[in-house]
Amino acid sequence: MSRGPFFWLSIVSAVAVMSFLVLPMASMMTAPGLNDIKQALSDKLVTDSVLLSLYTATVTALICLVSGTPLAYLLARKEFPGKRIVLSIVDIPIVIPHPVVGIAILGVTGRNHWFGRILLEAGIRVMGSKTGIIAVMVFVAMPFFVNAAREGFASVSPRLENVSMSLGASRFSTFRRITLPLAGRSILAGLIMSAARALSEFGAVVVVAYHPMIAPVLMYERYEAYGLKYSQPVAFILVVVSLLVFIALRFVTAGKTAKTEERP
Amino acid sequence: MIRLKGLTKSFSAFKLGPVDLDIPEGSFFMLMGPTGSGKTLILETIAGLTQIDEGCVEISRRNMNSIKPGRRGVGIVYQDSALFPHLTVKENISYGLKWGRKGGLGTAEIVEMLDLEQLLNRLPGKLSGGEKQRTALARALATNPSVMLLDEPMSSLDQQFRGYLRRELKTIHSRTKTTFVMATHDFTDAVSLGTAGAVVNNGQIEQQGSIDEIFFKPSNRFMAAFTGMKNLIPVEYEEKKAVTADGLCIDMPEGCRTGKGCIAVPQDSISVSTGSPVEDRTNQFSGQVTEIVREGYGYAIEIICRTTVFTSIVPPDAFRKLNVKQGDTVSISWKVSSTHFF
Repeated sequence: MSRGPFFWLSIVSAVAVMSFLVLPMASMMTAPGLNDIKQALSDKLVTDSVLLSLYTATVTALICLVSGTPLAYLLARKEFPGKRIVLSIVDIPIVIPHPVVGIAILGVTGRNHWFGRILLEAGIRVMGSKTGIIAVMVFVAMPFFVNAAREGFASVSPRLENVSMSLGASRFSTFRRITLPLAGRSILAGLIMSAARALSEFGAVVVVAYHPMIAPVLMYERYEAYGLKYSQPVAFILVVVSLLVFIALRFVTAGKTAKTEERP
Repeated sequence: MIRLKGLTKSFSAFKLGPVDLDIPEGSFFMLMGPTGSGKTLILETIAGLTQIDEGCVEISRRNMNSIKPGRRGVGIVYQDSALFPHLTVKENISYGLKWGRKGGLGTAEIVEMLDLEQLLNRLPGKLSGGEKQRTALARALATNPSVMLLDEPMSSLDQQFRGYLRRELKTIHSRTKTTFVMATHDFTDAVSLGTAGAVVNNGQIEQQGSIDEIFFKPSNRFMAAFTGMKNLIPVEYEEKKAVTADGLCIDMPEGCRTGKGCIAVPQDSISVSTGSPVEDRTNQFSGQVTEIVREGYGYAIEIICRTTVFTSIVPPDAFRKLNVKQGDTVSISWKVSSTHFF
C-alpha cells in the first residue's frame, strides 16, 4: 500500500478504533489498587460469584458442544428445504435483546406453560437457580458455537470423507478420524466463544436468576449500591480469571487439534 | 466387468442418465467429456459415494446397490488428491489397512514402486502436486482394490509431471491387473493410456467403445466436435453423395444414409494445393484462402468454397512449400474414406 491519503486515513481510523477498545479496558484493569483486589479476593461473595460464573459458563460450553455439533454438521453438509429458516433460527439469540431472552425463558418454564409444568413435576426449577442461569446462557451462546463449528465442518472437503469411506471406514469412524480433527480448531474456537459469551451474559440472567449471583450480577449490584470503585475489583478478578482459563484451554488443546502445514 | 444399467441420479439443476455402460475387466477405461458433464458423478456412483435414483451398478456380476463404499473393493483418487492433511504420507497410505486388505501388492512394494520412501514422514502440505498424487495412488492401491477410479488425476499437474505420472499409471495398471476407470478431458491421457472409453455429455453417454472408435469414428455431431473435428457441414444426402446448401457435391463412403444430416472431415485429412488436382481424390474443390492462423506446430488455413468454409491443418514444412497467403486461390481435396457422416 502506498503512503498516500488513503493509507494515513486508514492508520488514523485504526488508532481511533483501537483506542476506543483498549482505553476503557486498560482504565478498568488499572483502577483498583492491590489492597482493593486483596479485599475483593477475601470476600466470599466475590469468589463464589466468580466461581459460579466459571462453572455455569463451562457447563454451557459443554452443552453447546454436545448438542450443537450434530446440528452444525448437518447445516454444513446437507441441503434441505427450509435450511435458510433453520440458519435464521440459530441466529435469533444474537439479534434479540437479552432481557427479552430472560422473559421468554421464564415464559416457557413457568407454571402457566405446559412445558414449565412438566419441568416442575420433574423437580426442575428454573427461576432463581443454576439451571435457569445455564438455560439462558445456552440460549445466548449456542449461535456462536454452531456457527463456528458449521464453518469448520464446511471447510473440510467432502471428498476427504468419500475417500475415507471408500477405504473401508464407516461414516462414524470417518467423522471421528477425519472430519472432527480437521474441524477441531473451529470447534475449539466455538467452544471458547460460547463460554466467553456465557461468561459475559447479564441481561438475560438477571431476569431469570438474580440469585445465585454470577459475577456480572454482583458487579451490577455493587455498582448500584456502592458505586464504580466497588464494582471494579470484581470486574478485574473476573477478567483475569477468564483470560487465564482461556489461555490454559488454548495451551492444553494446542497439540490435540489437527496440524496441516502447507508447502511454502 | 463393471456394468452400469439404467443408472439415473437427479439434482435440482442436473440429471445423470439413464446411463448404460460396460467396462471390461482389467481395462484402462477412459471416461471423457466436457467439464460438468457428469464424469465424477459416474465415478462416485460406482464407488457407492452417491446414492442413485434408479438402475444398478454391477461389479464382477454382483449388484452393488446395497453394498457400502468400503466393501465394494473400489479405490478412488481425486483431482485434488484429497489426502488427509493432518496425517503423514505413511499414515495416509496405511489408513485403509485398519479395515483389512486382501492380497495384492504389499505396502512396501507400493511405496517403492511410487518412489515415496523419502516422503513417508511428511505431511501432505509439504508435498508437490506430483508427490501428492503419487501418495493418493499409493493410499488407494494399499487396500488392493479390484477397481481404481481416477478423477482427472493429472489436471492439476505441470506438463512434465503429467508425462511422468502417465508412465507410472501404465506401469501400475500392468502390474496390478486392476480395472482402471479414469475421468479426463485430456485427449493425450486418453490416447496414451486408454484401452476403451466412453464420452459423457450433459449426463448422457454419447459413445462408448475402443479409443480408436471414439476418436476416428465419432457417432454423432457432438462426438465429431468433441474429438476436434472442425469441418462440420450440414448436408442433404443423395445416393452416395452429400450436397451442401450452396450445391457442393461431396462423394460419400459406403453405407451412407439418406435425408438431411451432417458430415465431418478431419482438418488433417484435407490437403491444400496450388498446382494441379490430386489424381486419386474425387472430393476436390477450388476456393479462396480467408485466414491463416498458427495453431500448435502447424498452420490452420481457412478456405471458403462457394459459401462453405473448410479448415485444413498444414505442417510447417508443407506450409512453407505451399507458400499461400490470404486471398490466394487454392484447391482442397480429401479421400472419400475420410468423410464421417451423421
